[in-house]
Amino acid sequence: MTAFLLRRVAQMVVVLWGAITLSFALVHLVPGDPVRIMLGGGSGETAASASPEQEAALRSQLGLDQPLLLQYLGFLRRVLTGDLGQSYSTGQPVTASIGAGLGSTVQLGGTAILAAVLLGLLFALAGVLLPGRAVRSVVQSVTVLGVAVPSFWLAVVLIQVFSFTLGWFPAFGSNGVQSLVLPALTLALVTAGTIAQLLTRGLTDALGEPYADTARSKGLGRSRIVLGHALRNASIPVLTMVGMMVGGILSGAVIVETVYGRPGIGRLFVEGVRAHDFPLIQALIILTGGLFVVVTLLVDLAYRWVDPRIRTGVPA
Amino acid sequence: MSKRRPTLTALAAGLALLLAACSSGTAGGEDSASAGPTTGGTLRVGFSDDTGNYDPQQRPQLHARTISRQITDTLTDQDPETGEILPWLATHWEISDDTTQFTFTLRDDVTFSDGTPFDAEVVKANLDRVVEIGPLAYVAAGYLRGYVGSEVLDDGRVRVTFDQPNAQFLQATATQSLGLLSLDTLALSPEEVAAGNVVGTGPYVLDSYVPDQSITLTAREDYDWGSPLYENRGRAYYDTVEVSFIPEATTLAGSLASGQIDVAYILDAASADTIEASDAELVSTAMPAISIPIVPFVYRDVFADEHTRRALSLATDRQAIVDTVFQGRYEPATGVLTTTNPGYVDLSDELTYDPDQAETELEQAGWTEVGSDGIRTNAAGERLAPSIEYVGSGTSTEALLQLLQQQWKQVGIDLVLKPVAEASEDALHQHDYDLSTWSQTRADPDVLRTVYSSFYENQSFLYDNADPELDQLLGTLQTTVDPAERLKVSEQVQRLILERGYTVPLYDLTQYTAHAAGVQGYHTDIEGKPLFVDAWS
Amino acid sequence: MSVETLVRRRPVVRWAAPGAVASVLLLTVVVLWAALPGLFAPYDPVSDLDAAHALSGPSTQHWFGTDLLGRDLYSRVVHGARLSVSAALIAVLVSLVIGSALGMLAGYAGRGVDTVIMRATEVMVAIPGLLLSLAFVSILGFGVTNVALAVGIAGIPSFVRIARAETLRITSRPYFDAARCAGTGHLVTLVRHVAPNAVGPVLVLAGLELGGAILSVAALSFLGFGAVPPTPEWGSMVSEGRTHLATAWWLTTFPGAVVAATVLATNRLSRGVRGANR
Repeated sequence: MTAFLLRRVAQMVVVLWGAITLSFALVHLVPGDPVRIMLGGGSGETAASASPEQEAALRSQLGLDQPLLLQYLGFLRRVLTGDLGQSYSTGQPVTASIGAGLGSTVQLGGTAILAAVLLGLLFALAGVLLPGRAVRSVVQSVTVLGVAVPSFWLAVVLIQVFSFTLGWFPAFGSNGVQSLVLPALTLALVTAGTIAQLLTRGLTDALGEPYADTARSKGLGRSRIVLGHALRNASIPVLTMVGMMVGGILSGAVIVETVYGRPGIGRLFVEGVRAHDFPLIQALIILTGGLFVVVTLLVDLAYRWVDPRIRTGVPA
Repeated sequence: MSKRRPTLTALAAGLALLLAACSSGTAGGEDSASAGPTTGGTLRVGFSDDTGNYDPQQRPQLHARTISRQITDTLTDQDPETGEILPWLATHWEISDDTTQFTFTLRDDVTFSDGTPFDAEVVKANLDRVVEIGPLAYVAAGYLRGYVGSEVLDDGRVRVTFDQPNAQFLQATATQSLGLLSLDTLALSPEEVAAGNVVGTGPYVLDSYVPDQSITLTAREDYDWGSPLYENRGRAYYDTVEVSFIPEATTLAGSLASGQIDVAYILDAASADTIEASDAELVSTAMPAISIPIVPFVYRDVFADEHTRRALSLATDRQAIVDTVFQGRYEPATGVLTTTNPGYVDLSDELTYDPDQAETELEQAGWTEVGSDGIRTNAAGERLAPSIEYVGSGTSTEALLQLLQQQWKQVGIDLVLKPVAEASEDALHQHDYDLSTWSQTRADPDVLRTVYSSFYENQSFLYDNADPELDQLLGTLQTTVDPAERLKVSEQVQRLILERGYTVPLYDLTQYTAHAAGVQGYHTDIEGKPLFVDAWS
Repeated sequence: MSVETLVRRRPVVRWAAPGAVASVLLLTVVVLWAALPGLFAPYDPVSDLDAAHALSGPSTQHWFGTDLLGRDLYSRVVHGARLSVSAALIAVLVSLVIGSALGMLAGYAGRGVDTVIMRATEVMVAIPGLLLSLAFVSILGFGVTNVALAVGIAGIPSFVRIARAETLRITSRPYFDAARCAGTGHLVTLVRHVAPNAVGPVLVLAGLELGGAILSVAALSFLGFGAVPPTPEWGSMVSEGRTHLATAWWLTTFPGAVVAATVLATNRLSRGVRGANR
């Protein structure tokens, strides 16, 4: 266990270092001059607006007037000491902006994952247990929609129906539980489809296993077999998915937070991109990379705990 | 205006000298007046835009000014009905015969929310500061053109001196651009003030500003010097005003319609239907402003020739624009200024839709060849493809520009759209596009001076191409006191601006805001800015 | 197999054949729209302004209704297919070419090269796809082409993995050693022996990634980083329609539904093809 942990942590550090390097590379190894992109409005050529003094000031603030290797080492050192620089658009430390948004995103993401798991479970069970092959097939087909429906469209549709038409939930903001419902539901519906499909397949497979036959021969009903035995085994692949789900939720948060006007790191990211606020983008890349790494480690640990047979090898 | 303000300059300035009537909202509490206003509670306000700068004296976008209106007071106020200048923080004033010296006598019972007293020293410090930060506060500084200095006569009296007649200064003291700030606030850097560190004498205190999220205002308990135009001169009824920024036009309207907010400020014209279908009340203000134009930049090569600039206006079908894009909710422009501006002159003869004449003008400017794509080229082989940068995809502005694109294509002009995510804050002339659109509200013809004079050359649409004749006329406009004479000068200015193709007026803006049925006493000033001090539920 | 591919690739639902038939039909229509929009769109998507019927709902004259300027929404959706579909194809092509090349290189060269490429891939996987695309958009600039490139870059890791796995599988076979002994150069070996054998699984993956690419491109356009008006694009059409959400449901509903249907059909067919391949 200790060896496993050590190896995973080492792996984590490497990925994290990679994410830091990537965020450094983003700004430095791209076509065009980052300073001019930041000061201009997109491609490097339109940056006629900045004065040479502004340019020079920004260049030295970003350390861009030093040799590349020195810049890189300096960047690493600063990141490791928790100094991710200042947002170019607000002038505040980016850690402050991110800190302000992180809680909201965690709340949204956590709720969404929970709802997604519940919805996924519901659909999977319905798709396996409902009487009638045709009915089950319809339920299973619906789950495929979750993967195909654009989240931005779903968000718009939910606003139209539940906020404007029915007036049940607010379409905007982050005041209280009410305002959490629609954004979380949007994210959950998009994610639930995948979970439902995984579970359905797991359950279907399990029902074909010898032990299910044994159970059937003992006279156990379909639902007893599913709930009593198959579900547990079918749940394991879902657990391994949580890491990916967190990534998906963060991607979804970009859209959902923008459409619902919620503060959070997804919206922060979009605003960073719009304003060419590279320090902010870099910090968010490092943060999301780190988040993913931590979550996958936790999932791996949980996985080993749930299924003690796994002793060797690193899943995922 | 903000959703439709596509570029950097959604300017807004002071009140009218002469404006008679205007359809600003009226107090809505009459029928339930028996109950009387109640104190307490929170007013939830949705703003369509976070202008990001809440220094009353700096950039004067409408949203910022609306906040200023609640947290600062001014020396005078102005009656929207009569245009009369009323005493406020100044109880009395004397103006020298040549309108170069203004002596104000001040109230002695006014304090800032930080406890410091309001006196002559503070007034002097405010005016000095506006001039000092100059271009940062270019509208306010424009009002103070020729400022020599302020002299503190005693605690309660201050004398302001100009080196030439300044006909519009007294009216300017009623505008939010000259909102009065405490000495501590003035000592901060302009950036710090912009970030919301503002202390004024107003009925509300700016508690917190979280960019892109919220502004919280709290009522000042000891407020007792409201404007004569306020119904309520004492403490505001609502304890707090909670402003959230809701940039999505539909969401803003929907949030009000479904009761999630109490006031929506400013609505897209397309959202008016949503409000009318709900039980919330729509409040419209015909803005006393410059008619919303497209402005060709004279300093760009493509628009160096005035024939080309004039062709733009001739190729523009204004009626079609207001009918389709704004579904008839706005009126087509009939002059450089809107009909509710006291300097308005009907110039509709100059604003006809005449594609044939447009083509003639373009031919004269050397755009003689028509390519296979229907777009004109000149002898040098350059395509006539001016570009415009604007903010806000999916807005009415974008729809308008797409329609304009089709109209101009008929005469061989290819209007290139450059949507950007964020407005640049730099001076106009430094950008890589040829046209802009913007709005400026001030119920005085002097509004023209702010953007066409060479006073701040870097803020002028004529950058580097100052028009001496126009400059001279604008100077006359500022120093002319007699109203009839002023109107005459105003007409000369506007004719010149159209003749030389400096602008393509499109439509007269009507501003839409709305409030929930339960909000009483909601009314707006002449510029459509809500006055929260009088509202209650 | 990684968690990601596990999730994305396993077919769960075996649709009855009608599903597959419908998907083929739908995709055929969309591809035809993209290839020959003029043939299917009754109106010009940009210059035909039917002001008299502006902002009106679906009718026999305008199947999907009209927008604020009176443009025919159906025609705009048809023309939008060109931009949306080709951007998604470019994106997948970018992922495929770069990803496969890197994957084959990793599998073939092994050791240090393999480690570096695979660690880099892990880093890219760690950052959520849309965020990674957005980060590249911020550098490449806005516009459909750049959006397509950015989505393509974010899609590289899955191709690296599958190409590497295939390369390892092929290079471990006896005939491969024979080829190596014959003294062929590295590049030739890769191109002649590895690539043709890896192409099947890589193409199946490309099909599966296409649906996701359509979604990502549309999402980035929705956020305002893609198509410049008046050019129609599915994602930006939904965004434009939001202004009239309360009064004109068709503006957002039809383009969104077309995206969903296209992605659904793409996913369905890719699964079918992969199933048949096994």
